[in-house]
Amino acid sequence: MIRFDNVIINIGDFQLTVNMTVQKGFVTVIGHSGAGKSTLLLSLSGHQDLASGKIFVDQNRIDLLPPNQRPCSVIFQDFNLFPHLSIAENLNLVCGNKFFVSKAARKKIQKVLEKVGIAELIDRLPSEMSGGQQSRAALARVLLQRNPILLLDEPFSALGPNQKSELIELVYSLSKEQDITVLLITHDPKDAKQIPCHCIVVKDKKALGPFETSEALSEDGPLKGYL
Amino acid sequence: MFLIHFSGLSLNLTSSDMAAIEFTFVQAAYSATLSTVLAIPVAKALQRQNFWGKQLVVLFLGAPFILPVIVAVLGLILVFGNNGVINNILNFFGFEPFKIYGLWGVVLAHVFFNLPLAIRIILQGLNDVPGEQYRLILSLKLSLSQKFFALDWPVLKKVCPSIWAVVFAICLSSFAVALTLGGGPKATTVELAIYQSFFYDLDFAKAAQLALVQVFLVFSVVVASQFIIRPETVLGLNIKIFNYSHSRFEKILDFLIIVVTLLFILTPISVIFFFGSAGIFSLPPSVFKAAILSVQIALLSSFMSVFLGLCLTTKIGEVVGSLGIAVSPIVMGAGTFLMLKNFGNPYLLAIPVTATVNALISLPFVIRILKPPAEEIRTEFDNLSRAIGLAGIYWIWWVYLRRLKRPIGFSLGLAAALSMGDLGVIVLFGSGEIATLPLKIYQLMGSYRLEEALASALLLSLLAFGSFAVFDRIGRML
Repeated sequence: MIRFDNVIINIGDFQLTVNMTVQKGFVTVIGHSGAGKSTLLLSLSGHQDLASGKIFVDQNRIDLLPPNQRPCSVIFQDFNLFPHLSIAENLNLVCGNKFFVSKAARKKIQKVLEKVGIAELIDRLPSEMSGGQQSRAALARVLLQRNPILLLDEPFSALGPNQKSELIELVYSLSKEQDITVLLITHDPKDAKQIPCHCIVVKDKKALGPFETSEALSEDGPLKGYL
Repeated sequence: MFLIHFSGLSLNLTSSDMAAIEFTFVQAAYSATLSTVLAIPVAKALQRQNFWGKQLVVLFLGAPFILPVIVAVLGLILVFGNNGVINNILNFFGFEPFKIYGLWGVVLAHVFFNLPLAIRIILQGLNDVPGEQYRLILSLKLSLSQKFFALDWPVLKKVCPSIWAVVFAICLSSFAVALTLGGGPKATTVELAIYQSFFYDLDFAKAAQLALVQVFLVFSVVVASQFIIRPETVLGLNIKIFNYSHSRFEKILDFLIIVVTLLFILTPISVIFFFGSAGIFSLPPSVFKAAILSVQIALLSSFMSVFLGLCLTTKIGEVVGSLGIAVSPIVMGAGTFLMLKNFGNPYLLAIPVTATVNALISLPFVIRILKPPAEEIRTEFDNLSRAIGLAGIYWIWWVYLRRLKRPIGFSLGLAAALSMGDLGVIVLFGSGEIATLPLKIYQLMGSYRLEEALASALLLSLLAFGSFAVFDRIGRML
């Protein structure tokens, strides 16, 4: 369970207020461009400081912790992999940060890459892979991090509709399998309809919800005017 | 005698010291003005003409930057000296010969080194003008002068004062050129006067006073230049070349300008290769000993410089690292010598002191190469690094060094080449026993062993260009 307790985030003139509790499961975050969706996620991951308020995960206060000590993994819109490192080296960075990829680490990486369907690409550079394969590699790293919360800041927005849909399905099934809470930012209400999930709506400088997806997407719902 | 009192500090400057200050300013002003003015038509010609090998021409313009000063001076003496090609031609037509020793020799050498730099900066400025603007102006069928004022004048107005200031500052503290082509009461710079007080008069107090004057002069110019230098103009690499249609007259004129410039830059280098190659295998062992010492110092200094550069890739770091521009090698060397003199024999520390001073001299260039990509790394990968907890030594190993390997290779090459050709601090610390290759060449020139000096100059050029090429290649290959 994630609890935003009277959280206020200021970025220049922009202010976002969040006061909500998010239960375990798959949650989409929908709103206009510039509404503050990424700001909400980055405040949870520790990449954005709070002006006031507190954030709790399962009764533990996390807003004072640095990003790497929070129970969250993030996949950003871009720069999710170091382009000069192979996939094995990229994933090794969360396997103990050694100066080289050990045999044991490689085995572990191979296993997780199998889960996301790109085991054969272990020694490739990100530039030698498609956008979808890169997203799968980033997802594999998240699985290795073993954090209970996964934050997805529109990582699939540059992909085609089929690839995007496939990856959302994959994230959903992995989240079920590993018992991970997922917060997925999207512009597209279809993404929310694709899987059973809740929905946070960010508008008018506030994060609202979470709502049942059907409620959020209904004609009189909080997304009225956006749909 | 001129007495200057300032905050309890008093300087006693003789008339010869004042003459040195005046000469320093005069030669720097001539050098800066000529380099800037002559660079304009060359940059313009390169911008508007497209021809096979154009990239190579632009690349050659970078050669004087890493060419050891003593080699260039030798080459210039062969071409412009008393028995050089130019004076033979002038004699043939009954003109007065060109005097390579003295003011005009110093200016000529400075123009040789700085003209390419000025050309590259102006070319960069001209290339930064959007292509659409060119198309628009050209479609209006304007006269040559109207085109010039519409397209080129705004760029030149912006970049030329900056170039002038940069070249002026460089020439103020140029030592090796003044040492080899200057000298005497009429052509002594402040740097040379420091060396003379040190080496010939053994008047350390005078040397210290002059060093203070030199620091004040360069520092004032650096501070003053901050008001006219626009950051975007202090570039000169990765040039995008743009060209557009032109008349036959412009074409012929441009090619003439480019050919003359190339002859001016490449002839002194070529003559060293031509005349030096015969004697390179029969050089005395002392030259090879000096070459080995030069390589050792260059390696030590380049690694020191790049290590410091990697630690100073921030805004404040750049300011700290750039102090080396204000304090020349001779001033640094003189200061270090005086400091060490109180504790023991400074000559015993010739190698580490020379390497350290050389490292500090190349540091501003190294920082300029490393800082932009280092900042890019911090911007692009900060979120990801923080998200996965990659920090400290692991971040340096996996991200910083690996992403920077190309600029690190380039910086190592540049620092090694600059150190290899340096004839600054070693003239204070060097001796018959401890001599780098540039010092050895200077000694050979002084004893009129021109053939050996030429062969040694060729060896030095090969080492300077070779070290640059090897490090740059390693950086690209890794």
